[in-house]
Amino acid sequence: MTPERERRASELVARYPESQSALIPFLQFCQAHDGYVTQQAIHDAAEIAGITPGEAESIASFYTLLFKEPVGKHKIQVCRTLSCMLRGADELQQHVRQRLGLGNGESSPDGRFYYEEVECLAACDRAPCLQHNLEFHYDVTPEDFDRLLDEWRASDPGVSMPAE
Amino acid sequence: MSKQPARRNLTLTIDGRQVTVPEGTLVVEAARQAGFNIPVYCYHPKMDPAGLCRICLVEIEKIPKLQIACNTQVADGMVVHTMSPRVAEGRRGVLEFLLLNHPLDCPICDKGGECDLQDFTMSYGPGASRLTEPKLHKPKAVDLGPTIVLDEERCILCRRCTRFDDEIAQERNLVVNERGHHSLIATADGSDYRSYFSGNTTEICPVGALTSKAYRFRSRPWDLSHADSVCTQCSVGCNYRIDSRFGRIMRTFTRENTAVDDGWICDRGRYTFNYLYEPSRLRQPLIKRDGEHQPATFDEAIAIAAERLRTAARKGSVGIIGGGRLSDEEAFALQQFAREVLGTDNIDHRVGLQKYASPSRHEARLEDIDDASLIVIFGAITPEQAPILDLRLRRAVARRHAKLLFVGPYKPDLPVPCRHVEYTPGAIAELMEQLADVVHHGREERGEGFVAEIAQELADAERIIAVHNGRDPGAIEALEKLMDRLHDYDHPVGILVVGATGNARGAEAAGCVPNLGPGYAELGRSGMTAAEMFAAAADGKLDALYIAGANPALTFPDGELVRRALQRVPFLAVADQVLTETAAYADVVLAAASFAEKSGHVTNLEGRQQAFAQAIEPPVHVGSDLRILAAFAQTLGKEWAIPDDADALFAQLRHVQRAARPRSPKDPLPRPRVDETSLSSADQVDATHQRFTIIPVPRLYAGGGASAHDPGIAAMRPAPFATFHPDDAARIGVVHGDMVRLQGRGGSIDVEVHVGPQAPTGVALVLADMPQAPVNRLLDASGFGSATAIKVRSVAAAPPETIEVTA
Ligand code: SF4
Ligand code: SF4
Ligand code: FES
Ligand code: FES
Repeated sequence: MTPERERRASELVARYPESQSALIPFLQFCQAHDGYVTQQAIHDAAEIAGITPGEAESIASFYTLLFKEPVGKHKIQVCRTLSCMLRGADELQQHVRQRLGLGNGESSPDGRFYYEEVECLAACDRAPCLQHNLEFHYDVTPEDFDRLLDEWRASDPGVSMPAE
Repeated sequence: MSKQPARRNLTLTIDGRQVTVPEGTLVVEAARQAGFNIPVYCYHPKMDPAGLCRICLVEIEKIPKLQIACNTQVADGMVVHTMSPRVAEGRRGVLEFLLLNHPLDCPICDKGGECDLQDFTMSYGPGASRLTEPKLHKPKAVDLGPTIVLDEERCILCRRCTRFDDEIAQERNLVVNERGHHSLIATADGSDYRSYFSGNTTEICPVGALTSKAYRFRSRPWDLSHADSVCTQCSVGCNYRIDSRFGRIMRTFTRENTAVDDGWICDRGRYTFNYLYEPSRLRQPLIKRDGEHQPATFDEAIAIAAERLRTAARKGSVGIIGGGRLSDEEAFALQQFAREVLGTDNIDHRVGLQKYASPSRHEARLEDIDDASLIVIFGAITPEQAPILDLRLRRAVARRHAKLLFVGPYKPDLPVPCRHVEYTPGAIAELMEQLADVVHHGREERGEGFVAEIAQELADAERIIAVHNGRDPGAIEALEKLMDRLHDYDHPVGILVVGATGNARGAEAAGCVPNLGPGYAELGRSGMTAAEMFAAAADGKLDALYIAGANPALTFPDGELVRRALQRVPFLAVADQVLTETAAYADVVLAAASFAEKSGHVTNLEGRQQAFAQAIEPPVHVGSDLRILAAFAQTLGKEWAIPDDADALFAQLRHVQRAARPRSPKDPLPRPRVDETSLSSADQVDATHQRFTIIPVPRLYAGGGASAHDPGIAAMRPAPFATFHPDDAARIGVVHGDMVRLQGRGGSIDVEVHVGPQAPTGVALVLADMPQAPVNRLLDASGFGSATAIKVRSVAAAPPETIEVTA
């Protein structure tokens, strides 16, 4: 573990009654730096949480905001659960795929875009919902998406999402 | 003895039938007692309820929704319906979901015919699926490791396998990754699922998702014949069933005996059977002619061996070795052969480091571990030498917070908290004596420091179980005295001895030791121990040796002495299943039957005598050790001594063994004699140069006989290695993966370097019982040895000029 990570780990562990609670914030911290959750991060996290690497990976893989491999910097996640699908998410998905030239779970070769269809984002009242990095966009139409895409194309979100 | 408060009894009604069960009972268990089987997938009686699959839905009056029977505790006056129309509808719905993406490849599925998904769908499921969309497809043959293949499509995510790995094995390597319908059973980063207990997951998997490589596509369950047997791969004596088809073993299966195995078996026990079908299996006797082993008939081999043994016996110059790998009846027959047929007391089953296979007093049962508050292990490496006993220890520590203290030269790899007290074998006796002293002198005078601390733990413990390996007589005596002391102060204590071989205790009790007859009858005289027989043979003072089911060339600590003995003895006959390192020296080799090919009894480490049934017929020219010994007796005109009838022998043995349980502290069981050369010399080695003390370490998959010749086990055997302390490794300039040559008193062995802090400094922990690198070359008869370590090859394929050659 790098000294910086060790420092962060002990801060996080001190914050909770159980060291296991530090697992996810620690992984987020590592991801903010590495761009995804590396195997090293999994092993370090397991060590600080007192669990096996298998368990750490199991927990990490449960979350769609923790990436197990390098992905594009702009992470675009479109909801595919019931409310959104009833409100046109399938059209939106098709449109996004076509615009980005990416399938579900794929990143662009230049490493700028990542596209994924995810389960309910808990914004069903304003479906269909799209998440860009940690930001929500509601009632998204294909036209809205085009506008957003132009913005994103012009920007660089840095290596990854903020940790907290 | 039980500390649990008495539980109230509650009465409830299940499907109109009244049943009374203790408070806290789950509805599913109460129903079972009332005679109703509620279907379950995720629930398993040995594990905590998880409530994942919902198949166990029942209707409970006064609760509006259906409830899961596996995670609902009974209440007084509860009225439960397990077969109402609402329940039927609930189950149908659950099954429809479980089957949504299920591949329904039952015709080619190993589980077909014994699958809970098939069975419950037949009993409760919908006849057809309403899904018209294509099913989700997932990988069908994921290689999880050396033993298990996973079919992700068949998995119903009940998590029995992962909970087994967590709650029972305490290893937590098998997990569920991802979520929702992407969930899958996995390990960290796709690493191998390696566990000594992996095979159990294939049994508890309610569907055909986890299949064992050994059994995959080999048979349909309805084609199998079953025989109730007992595993003899180690001294735990787990009960298992041997399933065979057309006379060939297809698989083994647990046969729960809660008191012994708690319903589990380890992979060594489960998978050691395919060696029987390898070309190396001895299928007929061999006779050495012009230095070469030639096939012979049974009668020919018996005739020659009988004659040579008789001639040697007339001069009183014959020795018999073995018993620990035979059945009780055969061990008894072997001692009859020595004492009644050949007229010698030169008989010994001890061909390893173990001297005693039973406690002389304070005998414990395996189940006593379940309510021990302190477990003290002396030297026995339980995860490697008694895996299923180790599961009990793990449970005691992880689930009941029992304390575990390991006293020994290095700390074994245990997945539960364990306090390690580093003591070299020779020094353990001293520690025990100090402890007994401190316990005796009372709390106030216990003083400070390490010994006092342990004494305090002993004094505070409610129930103490000691587990030792029967190796160091001085330490054992001291341990027993310590237990006497604790016993005097009203602590319940118990001792378990892990056997060096599957039936070490049975052999001891049957009289396969030089000074005791069957049933520990003191003879008042003694023949030679195995060590003395080897020494005599090496000196040309023994005319013949008969070795039954033992492989001292690999297992006896002084390997060099055995080599000389076996070379020099004028006549050597060996009975075994494969041509072992020992049998290779024999003038006559008798092909012996395996446990699956005979019936009888074996005695496990707690002294429990268990019957095992014959599963398959041995090859035509192969005889059980009993048949071989009976044939000898008959040829030598003493057929009365060994009837070829296991039942008759068992009756005789039972008769003499009746009074032979370990007794009170005042009247302990007599001990097998230990000779001087076998006592620990505990020589200290100057570790400043490249010289190391050698400590042999046992491994579950090591060994020379069946395990060395079994293709399934071979895949799991480690390459010979020695573990060095990081400081030592740095000092002699080696890294993990290098090869070193260990040069000791009887030759050298080449082993891979492992580096780990568990090795004390100045010590090399060397994998024992490996035919390619027999550690016993480096040891003396007491099991101690030292060796110089010289690097012979670096990790990266080394150019030839860097290879150092030693004289
Ligand atoms: S592999 Fe078998 S035991 Fe494991 S979760 Fe799937 S169905 Fe259950
Ligand atoms: S623990 Fe021992 S007796 Fe039990 S299955 Fe394993 S090897 Fe056989
Ligand atoms: S269904 Fe899309 S946010 Fe809930
Ligand atoms: S058996 Fe009750 S929920 Fe699975």
